[in-house]
Order: sequence, then structure tokens, then C-alpha cells
Amino acid sequence: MGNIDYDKKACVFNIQRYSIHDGPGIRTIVFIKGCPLRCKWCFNPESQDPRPTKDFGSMMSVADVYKQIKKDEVIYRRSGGGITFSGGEALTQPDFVEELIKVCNANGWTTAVETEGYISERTITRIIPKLDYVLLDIKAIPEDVHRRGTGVSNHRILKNALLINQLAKNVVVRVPVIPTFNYSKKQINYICEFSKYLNNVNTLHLLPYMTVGRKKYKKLGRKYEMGDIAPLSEDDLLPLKEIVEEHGFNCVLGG
Amino acid sequence: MKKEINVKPGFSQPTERIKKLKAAILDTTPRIEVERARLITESYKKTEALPTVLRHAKGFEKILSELPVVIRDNELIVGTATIDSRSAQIFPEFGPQGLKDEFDTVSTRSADPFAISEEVKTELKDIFKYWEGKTTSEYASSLMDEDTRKAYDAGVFTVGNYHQGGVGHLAVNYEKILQKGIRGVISEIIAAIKNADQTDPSWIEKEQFYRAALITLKAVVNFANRYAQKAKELAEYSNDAKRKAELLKISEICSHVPEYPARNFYEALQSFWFIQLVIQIEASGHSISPGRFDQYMIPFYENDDTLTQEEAQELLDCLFVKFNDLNKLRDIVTATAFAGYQLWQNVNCGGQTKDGKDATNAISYMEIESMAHVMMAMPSLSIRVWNGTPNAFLLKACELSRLGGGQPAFYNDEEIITAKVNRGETLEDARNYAIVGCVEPASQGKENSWCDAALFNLPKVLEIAMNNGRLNGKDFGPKTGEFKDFKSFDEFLKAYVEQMKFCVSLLVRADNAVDYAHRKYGQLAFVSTLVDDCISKGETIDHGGAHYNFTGPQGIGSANIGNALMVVKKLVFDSKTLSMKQLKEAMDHNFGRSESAVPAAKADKDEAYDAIAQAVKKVLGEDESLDLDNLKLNHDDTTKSLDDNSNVYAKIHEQVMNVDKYGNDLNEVDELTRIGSRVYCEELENYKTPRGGIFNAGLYPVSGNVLFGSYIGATPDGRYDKETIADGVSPTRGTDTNGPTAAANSVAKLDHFIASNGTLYNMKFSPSAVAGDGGLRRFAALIRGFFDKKGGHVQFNVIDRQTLLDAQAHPEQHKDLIVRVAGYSAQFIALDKSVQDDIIARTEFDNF
Ligand code: SF4
Repeated sequence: MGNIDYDKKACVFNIQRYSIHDGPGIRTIVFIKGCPLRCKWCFNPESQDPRPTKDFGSMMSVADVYKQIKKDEVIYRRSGGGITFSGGEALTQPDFVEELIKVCNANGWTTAVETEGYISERTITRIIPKLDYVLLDIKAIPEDVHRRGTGVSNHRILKNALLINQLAKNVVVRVPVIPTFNYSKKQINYICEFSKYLNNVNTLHLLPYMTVGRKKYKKLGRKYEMGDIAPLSEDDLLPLKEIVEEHGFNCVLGG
Repeated sequence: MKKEINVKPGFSQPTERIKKLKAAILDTTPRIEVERARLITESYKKTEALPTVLRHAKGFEKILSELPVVIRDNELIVGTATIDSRSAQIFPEFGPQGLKDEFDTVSTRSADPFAISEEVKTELKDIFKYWEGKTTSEYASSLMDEDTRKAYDAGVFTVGNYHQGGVGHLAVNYEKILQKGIRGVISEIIAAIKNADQTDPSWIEKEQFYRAALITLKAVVNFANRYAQKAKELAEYSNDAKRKAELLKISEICSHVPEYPARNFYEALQSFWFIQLVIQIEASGHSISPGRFDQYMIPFYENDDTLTQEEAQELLDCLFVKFNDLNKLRDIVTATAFAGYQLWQNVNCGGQTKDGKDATNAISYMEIESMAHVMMAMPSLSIRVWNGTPNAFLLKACELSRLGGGQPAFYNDEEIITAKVNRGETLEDARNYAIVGCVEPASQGKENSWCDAALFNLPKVLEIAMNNGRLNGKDFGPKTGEFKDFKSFDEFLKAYVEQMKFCVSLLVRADNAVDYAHRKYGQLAFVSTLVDDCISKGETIDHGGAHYNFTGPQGIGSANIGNALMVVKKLVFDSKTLSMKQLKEAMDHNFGRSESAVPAAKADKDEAYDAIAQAVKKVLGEDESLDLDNLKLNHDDTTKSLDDNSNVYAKIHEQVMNVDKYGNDLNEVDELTRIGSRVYCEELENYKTPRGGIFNAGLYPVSGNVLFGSYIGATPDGRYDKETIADGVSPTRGTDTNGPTAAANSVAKLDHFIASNGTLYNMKFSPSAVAGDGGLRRFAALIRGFFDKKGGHVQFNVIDRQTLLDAQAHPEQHKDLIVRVAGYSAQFIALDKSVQDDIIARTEFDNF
């Protein structure tokens, strides 16, 4: 296992305890700042910039985070839970995450990551095999659609998906379902077809679009491009769930 | 034949019979009935020369031989105290006398109203006249000294429970009746008489008890036989062949039990109910708790080949509905504090056997099923949990919890058993604890723990400490220094401890006065035959006959104490942002909220006012021209205009609220909360009860936290004048904002072992947070995790849609509500309105 560098730092913007929808058991999520994507619907737009701002995020050391996540140790043991790394894109800080994985392993807690997959191959080969669970976002298959919604091409993401599929112990595909973007049978069909190439994946999560972030854009002086589009309910996703199941996957709504 | 336990997800539907029985109770308006009061009074008038224990026994005998015998439609388990269901008999011998003044308003009051006819009213008033000066309540009052009364009146504590009513809070030895019948108990008494040394000077009193006990036991047999007779009569008139057969069966059963041992499950249930019922006819004490029902019922179920599982379940359901047939009249104050026609008949399941094995059995599961079928106010269900508790059972209990009725509650064997052993109980007896009333553990059939002996107002003591021993402005406790003069945090803490010692000593005096009154006037022979060692010692429970004796008063408002100490420590002594004087001033001005009264400040001003009034009086002589009341009014007006400083005080309030609060897993404030509540528990340990036990503290509120809050001015934790105090060991409402695991960790940091009369922790969840199989598993993990950390008790409120709507309207009261948003969970009130709407809409789809 080697030494753990407790002084390694990254910008953390939230540590959320009692999280129950992002891996097994009861978990604590460590939210790390910085994301290379610019999704129009992003409900944490403040998290995209990797640096701390006045009232958002602060530089924390591995030791600082350890002190916080340790508090629910008993609950991880009883529920099979542990720590989930999220963001932003947690894997933009692989050194930090790696040290924290060591901490978790030393304590016997399970580890998970929520990733958008837009990261270097080096990071993937280095970090993914060390994690117990990977929640991999796949937002759209057609390149133009993806670019329109997130500001980046998905080539790298899809290529990485194949690699993650090989390296991860457990992997689940998560799809934020966004009106005017991928809220259609066609788009979901594409994602299912692609997911069949990921032989370790047998579950897809469909996450309904929410408007939680709307107000934050104003504060940041940015335009909220989603406008007044109403949030989706889990019921709205039922027809899509059917499609996912027809493809032979388990489908979890709201994951 | 051992019956299989088939664990299935979900719950089945109750039968039509159960639905009808339930509806019949809910459709009845509770009424006050006079028969019991009339019968006991007639009897007492004729027995004035006899010792109390015999007088009460004879009264009980008369009641059971003349109380109307009523079998309701569709019933399979029979026996009632009243003609109408959910109605109340009156217990004039205990008091309080004040009840008679409430008969005129009892039908229109908002909390627990009762209908009452003019004739009953007149007769009861007449009956109460006879009891004037003869009740346990008045006698207890006469035994209290002035300081004790002052503290009681000012809401430092209330000993109202046993002061106003009979002794309750017992989990008796039902097993003895089921196994040996009343005849078995009679033989036990006869053997005790034979073995007694009749030259022993205590023999005279013992003999009186034995004689009284035999009278009551025979009276109970007679009561059951009257039911047997009644059922037979009804059968004769019944045209419905099915009902006729049922009635004949009831008749046969009632002629057999409780006189003889029960021979099957049905008989055991009926025998149990007779005992449960007559204990609550003998005296008005509430929380008569069945306790470890699954343990004493299981042999009758397992060896019964006459019933299908469904039939057995229906019978148990019948009993669970029947618990709601009983009711009691409380005075307006008590009824308001404890609204809901609640008698706290607590049924337990699971846990460990006396020899330390897992106790979960088929009846444990059936109890949970019955709770789901019945979903009424009673009984309460307590789930005992230990490391050996099967997960399937815990999950089933969580499933019940998820239905949203606030039931069951969960108890930690690993903590409670240790705590009881520490109180001197044997390991076997400690393992055999039953939860009584709200949350109080008592060794079944062996303990008279006098739980709920008082509610004790922890923050009120803090207030006294902040006022140099003054109680609402008048000198009262030791002089421990003015708040503004404390030079260090330790000095302040010391003052609190000093005042605690003083107030606890008064509490002890009050409780002992009540205890002594019951010993003198309230001797209960029947219930004593079912508590070891009353028969072998020849004493009632009121005399100290139980094997284990305690007095269990509970402290309320732990969180307020911890938070208040933290504010003083942080703002005044650590960061020095505030002086003691500034903080005191802000509190005296209710942190800038001038609309409500400010007792502490007002009391000081009252003194000043008195002084001015005296001086003016001297000048003017006794001239009537000076209107003192008017002067007072003007005086108050000036105080109001002074409150223009309210901005400053509101600022201070903001600073106060920004200090760390208990319930967020923050060590320093959690530690202060532990210290603040522990002081109370430790101090009580030093005192003895008249029955030969010790005082045994609990930290739970029933619902007295609202009432108690109204007695206290603003406190350093930022609590406003008269605002409610924290319930049990739960964090102050809305201040635990770091999620359920953080709050639970804080609560677990208190010393639950020393609060051996029980602790109470309330948690809230949205239905979606516990939805699905995963939700149940997490639910169970949370309980196990909290218990690993040695929390004692936890119960859950699964929040429904209505509450979410309320949270939207009053966000300040729902800061601790955690809901599932989508990929994560969040604090509900922090969400955008549209998202909240979304979630509210979503809960409608959670179909439990
Ligand atoms: S990937 Fe996630 S964090 Fe990054 S921009 Fe998109 S929604 Fe926001």
C-alpha cells in the first residue's frame, strides 16, 4: 500500500454525508472542483472551475477530508457503504483521489467514483482498477448532439468507456435525461446499443432533469440556456425505462 | 409442533372483522361513565374502619361484581371497563379534586374531549364531595414543603403523573396467570401464609395484604364468569349461527380463564386481556405495559393445533384493537400536553432471552403484522435489537416504520442490559427487561420502577443559574453569582451544577411525598400479586414489595443545555465577542423579539415596581387615588419603548445561532451536552426512594417539552422566550443540518448508560429516502450503526406529503428534513421551490 500523503490538497466544495443513491449502502460523497465539460443543464455550475472562489470550495488536504469522512465509519460498516468521489469531475485530481482511496482501503471502506469519462487514459489505468464501483455518465452517442449539450466531443468519452469497462470491478452507466437534448426514445436507444459493448454493464440509471441549478447561473453572471424548461418526474421516464429493459438491462430511475 | 416463520415482503390486509371492530371504536365519541366511581365510593363509605389495603380491595371487588358486562359486536376477545368503547371511568380516590370543576367544559375542550351527560355530571360532583381531603393527591400535596411547591409551581419540574393519578408503569408477570391461572396465584398466597412466622411484628400488615389479595383474585374470577354468563345469554338470542358459535366459544373460554391455566392460544389471549383490563380498573395509573408478549405467548401458539396461522393472526389483531377500548380522563393541562387518548400500553418483541439467546419468534413477527393491520393509537410496539437480532426481523420492523405511523420504536439491548446491571440487577433480570410506557426499561414482573415520576426542566435550572439563584425574580436557590460577573466558563458551569443539586433535592422531596401518599392511601393488592416479591414479602408494590424499586424522573431539554453552554463558552470566554452583560441583556429583551413577555426581566422590574409602589404608598398613605395596576401598565409600556434596541439584540441572536449546535457531530458542543445532562443523572443517583430503591434518571420528554418551554424565558442557545425546548435527547428542532448520521452520532455521544430510565431520540425521513429494498436496508443499517455507538432508543417519523407542504410554508421549522432529490439527497428547504414541488409531487407515487 505504501505511504499515504496526508498533505496532498485539492479544492473540495462539499462533503455530503448520508448519501444513498451513488453506490451501495450509506455513503459520504466528496465533491471535488473542476470539470472540463460545460453541460447546459449543469446544476453545479460553480463546480466547473477548478479553483476555490470566495464562497465556493476550499483547499482541503487528505487529512482534512479523512477527518470528515471518518465520522460515519460505523454506518459504512453496517450498510456496506463508503466513500464516493464526485464533482465537477473528481478524476481531474487523480493524485488527491488516489491518496484518499488508500485511506479508504486502510479503513476498509468501499470506494466509488462518479465520472463523466472525459479524462486521460493514464488516469483511468491508474485509478479505475483501485475503485470498487464506477458510475459512468454517458450523455449522448451522436457526436453533434453531445457537443451541442456539453461543449465537447464524445469520442474520448466513448473510447474511455470501453477501457473503464475492462478495468472497473463494477460499473454502472448513468444517463441524465434532459429535454431538448436526449429526452427521446431514439437517443436512449443509441445509449443502450452502445452500452451493449460494455460487457460488464448490466444496469443503467436514468436521472430526470432538474432545475436545481437555475438560480446559480444568475449569480455567476451566466445565462441559463435551459430557460424555463420544466423538470421531469420519474413517471416521465417510464417509457424510456421500458426501452432500457427491452435491451436487457436493469433500469433504475433517479439512481 | 414448531410453527414455521415465513418472512414475506409487505403486509396482508386485515379481515373484515378487524376493519369493523376498528371502525366501531373510531366512530364512538368517548364518554365519561360513572359506575366505577359510584361503586368504589359506596364501598368506601361502608369500610371506614378497615386498613387501606383492604378497603381498596373491597372496592375493587364491588366494582368487578357490578360493573356492566358488555360484549360488543364482532368481538372475539371480550371484556371492557365501560359501556361505550373508548370511554372513561373515574378514579376519585386518587384525585385530582380539581377534575370536578372541569366536568362542565370537558365535552368542548380541544384536547381529548369527552361527552358527559347532565346526570353523570351531577352524580360525579356529588361523589367528589365525599372524597374531599381523602385523595392520595391531596395527601401528597400536604406533604410538600414550601420550596418544593415553589419549584413545582414554577415549572422546574412536575410530579403530576402519580400526584394526579394511580401508580402505573408496570410490566407485570402475565406469564404466571397464563401458566398457572388465578388458582395458581391463590395457592402461592396460601403457601406464603402457611410459611409465615405469625409472631413477626410485621405479620399483622402482611396478613392484611394477603387477605386483600385473595379478595381481589376471586373478584377477577367472578368478573370473567360474568362474561361467560353474558356470552351464553347473547348466544341464546342470536339468530346468526356463526356468531352464536363464536359467543358459545367465548362463554366457554371465559369460564376457564383466567381462573385456570390457558390451554391454547385463544385462551391465552383472553386470559391476558382480562388481566390487562382489570389492572387498569384497579387504579388509574397509565403505561400498564404487556412487555415481552412474544415471550410468554409463544408456547401457547406453538403448541396449538386448533388454529390456522390466519385465525391466530385475526385473534391477535382483535386484541390489538381491544387495547383502544380503554381510555382515561385527564385534567386539561395534562390532556393538552399528552393529547391523543393515549395510555401507553407498550407491547415488546425480540431481544434476548433470560439466558442470552435471541428471543425473536413467530409471535414477534405477528405483532408487527397486527400493528400494520390495526394502525391505531395503541398499543405501542417496541422492538428490542441486539447483535444477534435476525436482519429479516429488523427489516420487517423497518417496513412497519415506513408505513408512517411513527411505530415501532427501536431499543438497544447492548446498552440497556448493561445499564440495568449497573443499577444492581442480575444479568438474567436485566436481559428480561420490558419497555414500559414510552421508553422505560423495567425487568418484567419484578420491578416497580415508578418511571415517569417527574418531568424535570433542565433549561429552567440553567435559568436559575443565570439569575444568581433567583426563580422568576424571587430569591430561591443558592447564591452562585450574577451572570454578568462570571469570570470564566468553569465558574458558570459550576453555578449550573450547584443549582442542579439544589433543584434535584427538591424534586426528590416532591417525589417522595407522592410516594409516601400512595403507600398510605393507594395500596393496590391485585397488581401486587403479579409483581415479584410482593407475595413472598407480604407487601404491596406501594410498600416496596417489588424485587427492584426505583423512582425514575426524566430530564428534558438536554440539547438546550449543551447549546447554551457552548454559546457562553465560545462567544463570551473563547472569542470574547460578547460580554456576559450583553448576552444577558439580549436574553432579557428576548433577542429583540419584543412581542412576547420576558419573565426574567419582568420579574426584576416587578421588584423595582414593588419598591416604587411601596414608597409611593408611604407618601400617599392608604389613599385610593393611586391606581397601582395602572402604574404597572405604564411601567410595562416604558419597557416596550426601550426595546428600540431590538436590532442590537437581533444581531446578538444571529451570532448566537452561528455558534456550533448539538446534533451536527461536532465534538465540543456534543461534549457540553453530555456534561449538562449527565450532571442531572449523576445527582439523582444519590437519593433513595421510600420503597427502598434509588432514583434512576431518564432523558425523554413524553411531550412535556412544549409545556416546559412556556415556563422559561429566552436562553443563551438562542431559544426565544416561552419557545418549546428540545425533546428527549434529540437536537433542537432545525439545528441539526448535517444529515441523519451526523445527528445520530451526536446523540450517541451522550451517556445513555447513566440515563438508565430511558432516552428518546426522534428521527425524520421522507418516504422516498427509505423506499425500496435498498431503503429498508439503509434504514436497518442506520439503527445498527447508532446502536453500535451505544445509543439507547430511536424512533422514526417517515414524513408524508402533508409535512412537505408544511415545510414549504414554514421552512424555519423544517431545517433538518432531508429528502432525496435525484442522484443525491439534500436538505429540503434549501431546494428551489420548483424542485420542492417536484418532490412533493413525487411522494404521491411512493405507494406504501
Ligand atoms: S459533467 Fe457534470 S459537473 Fe461537468 S459540466 Fe456537466 S453536469 Fe456539470
